[in-house]
Amino acid sequence: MWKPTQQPGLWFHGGNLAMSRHFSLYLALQLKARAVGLDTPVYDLQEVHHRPSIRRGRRPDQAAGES
Amino acid sequence: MSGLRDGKAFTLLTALRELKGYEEPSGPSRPLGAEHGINPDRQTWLERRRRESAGLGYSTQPEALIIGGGQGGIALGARLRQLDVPTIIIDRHPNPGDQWRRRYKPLCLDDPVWYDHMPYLKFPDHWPVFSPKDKIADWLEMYTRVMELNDWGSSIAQSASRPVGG
Repeated sequence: MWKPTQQPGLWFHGGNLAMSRHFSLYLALQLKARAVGLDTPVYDLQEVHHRPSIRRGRRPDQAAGES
Repeated sequence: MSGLRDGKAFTLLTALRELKGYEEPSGPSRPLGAEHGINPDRQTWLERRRRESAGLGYSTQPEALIIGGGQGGIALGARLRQLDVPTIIIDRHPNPGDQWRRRYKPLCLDDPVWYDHMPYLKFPDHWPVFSPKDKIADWLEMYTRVMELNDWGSSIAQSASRPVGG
């Protein structure tokens, strides 16, 4: 959480009150930076854990082989 | 830092605090609020706030959409407002704080209240150490309002897509 995901524009944030206070700053600053065109690079992105079928754009409710 | 080894740091932590040139207005840089002089077209704070809230998502589009308006969503929303990033917060519940109201009856915070402050606004010193859930719910509802967050209740995200090149 609180860093860019493999899906551009999709971020995750959450937790108890203390975590919400603490980490909202880092997420908000990264969002502001992107809104004004500043680069805030991160070390690495998380791996994608979706099944390849979903990554290719097939809906999760479609059976394998259906396209 | 946990001490030096051969004159070198073993652990070094860095954290983003603010963006130079985009500091949050606070203290000496806070807004004046009052507007002096004669201006027949002057809008009050309430008029500007209502106009903003009515137009956002319709005539103007937000930079950020936050799905879920519990403590996480509204803490982030409050920060984004201070950073001047237009934001809408949606939640399936009708009112902010309802997430806590719907929890089990005797629920109180697990952590002492002085550990649980929201950004910018601390709980009063007289608050119960382990504050009851409905009291927290009222606080979050009040917080959403006084922090001027654009929260859309009874709203569910059905799909999301990204504009081409966006």
